[in-house]
Amino acid sequence: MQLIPCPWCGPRAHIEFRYHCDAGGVPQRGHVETDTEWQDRTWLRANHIGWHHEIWQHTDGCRGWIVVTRNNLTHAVAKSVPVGPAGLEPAP
Amino acid sequence: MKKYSVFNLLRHAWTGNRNWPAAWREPAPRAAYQAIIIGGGGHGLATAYYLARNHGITDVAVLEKGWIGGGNTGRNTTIVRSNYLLEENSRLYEFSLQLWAGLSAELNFNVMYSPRGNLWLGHSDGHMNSLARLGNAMGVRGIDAELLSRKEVQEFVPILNCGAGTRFPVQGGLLQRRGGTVRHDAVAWGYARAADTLGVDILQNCEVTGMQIEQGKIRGVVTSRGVIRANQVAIVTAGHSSHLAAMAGIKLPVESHLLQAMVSEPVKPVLHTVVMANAFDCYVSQTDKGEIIMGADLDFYPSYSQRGNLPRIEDIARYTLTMFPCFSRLRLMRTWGGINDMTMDGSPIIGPTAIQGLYINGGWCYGGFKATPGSGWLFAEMLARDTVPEILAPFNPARFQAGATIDERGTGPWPHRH
Repeated sequence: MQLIPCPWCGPRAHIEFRYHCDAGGVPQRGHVETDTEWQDRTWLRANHIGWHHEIWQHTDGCRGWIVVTRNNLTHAVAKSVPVGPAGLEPAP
Repeated sequence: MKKYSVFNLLRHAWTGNRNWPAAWREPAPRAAYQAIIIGGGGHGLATAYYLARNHGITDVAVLEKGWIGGGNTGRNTTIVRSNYLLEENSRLYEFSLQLWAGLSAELNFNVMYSPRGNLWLGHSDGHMNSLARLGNAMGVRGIDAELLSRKEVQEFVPILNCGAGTRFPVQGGLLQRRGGTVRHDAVAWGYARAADTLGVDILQNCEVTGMQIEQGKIRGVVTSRGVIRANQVAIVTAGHSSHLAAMAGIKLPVESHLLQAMVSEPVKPVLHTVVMANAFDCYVSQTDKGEIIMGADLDFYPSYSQRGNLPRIEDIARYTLTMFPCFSRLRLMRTWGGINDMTMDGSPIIGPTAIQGLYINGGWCYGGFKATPGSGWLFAEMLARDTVPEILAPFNPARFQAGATIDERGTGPWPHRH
């Protein structure tokens, strides 16, 4: 079981949450994408081994959307913040 | 290679089975090969075997970071079938299913192909309609499919709980009789032994850590056992496709997820077919050793860990007991997890890459095992002739940018929902 710290509800078991997608592909506000950028963001994933920013929703809790910084090899969870630009700081 | 036969069996029994030769060699890596296949699972070994057998190319090395068949080939639920809706998938998996039928004789190794049938359950009118559509799609392509009523399902699998009192009463099912199971380890061992006999070098404990690329062409790989040069390199590493492709600077339409399966203690024969309940994505069968083997959906978060979480195991047990209440007293013996390279449309990616001489065969989601012989056969043809076989053409990794996805479930670019 992974313990995910919800910014509003505190640490909760991961089964209360639902994984949505990798946060790396979220477009920046105001940026006009080229077709190639859109295609890459839609279809391609870094999918490297290690730390990722991911978008999850606390579906069985406050239903808030959060950016979780999680290691996909060890399942360690470093932090989670509400969705927004602050969540996309470099991973540890 | 010493041919396995009744006479050899008797002869070795006479000497206490102490003198069987090793099934394959353990060669030292050579400095260069004509072709290198990264990944010693079913698909990689099958590719090497068919390169040697069908095309006479024996200067081939299969590089495996652990031991052969230690990845997804040894972690699946051994189910084979070809009941696909889309024609592209249908052709590929049907080609494989036909090869399974003759594989034991071909490899002189009993892979225990057991066409025990593959039954998909329907739980509502809408569900039965979709099964009928699937059966019709298979029928027009000459693939066997039978739509069963609830009564026929009950007669076919007497221990299945179809009753009206259950949470998901069974309305009927779609049966593919030629579907069934194959012993997964035997597939890896059989292909390895046969490929080795034809001269292919199988290099275990040989992890690829880098690729040598000069002017857009592949020239070799860096491994934990030194540099090995080749002008043709194929990435056949289910579960680590993105990791390997990144060494060549390639980003794939793949997200790696976790899938679990488990077996109960062995019991006497009680379930003679494979039963799959699509309403909760659960599949159950009985191994030849007597264990009840169960699997279900992903854990639904990206993972490279190869081990699962308990909540999903609880789900699988619950789904299984919904279908088979008579299994409630069985003890769970073993659980395990594997890495599934989920693509953006749920279908594999097979073809050449932007690097000349570098090919990829991966992204099989959770359906790769059943395709092993067909994938190896066709991929070997691609490597040997440097052309794309007709069946593989739709699976080009560049299909996404062109909008030509092969989305069996029609769910769009959400890899964990396929």
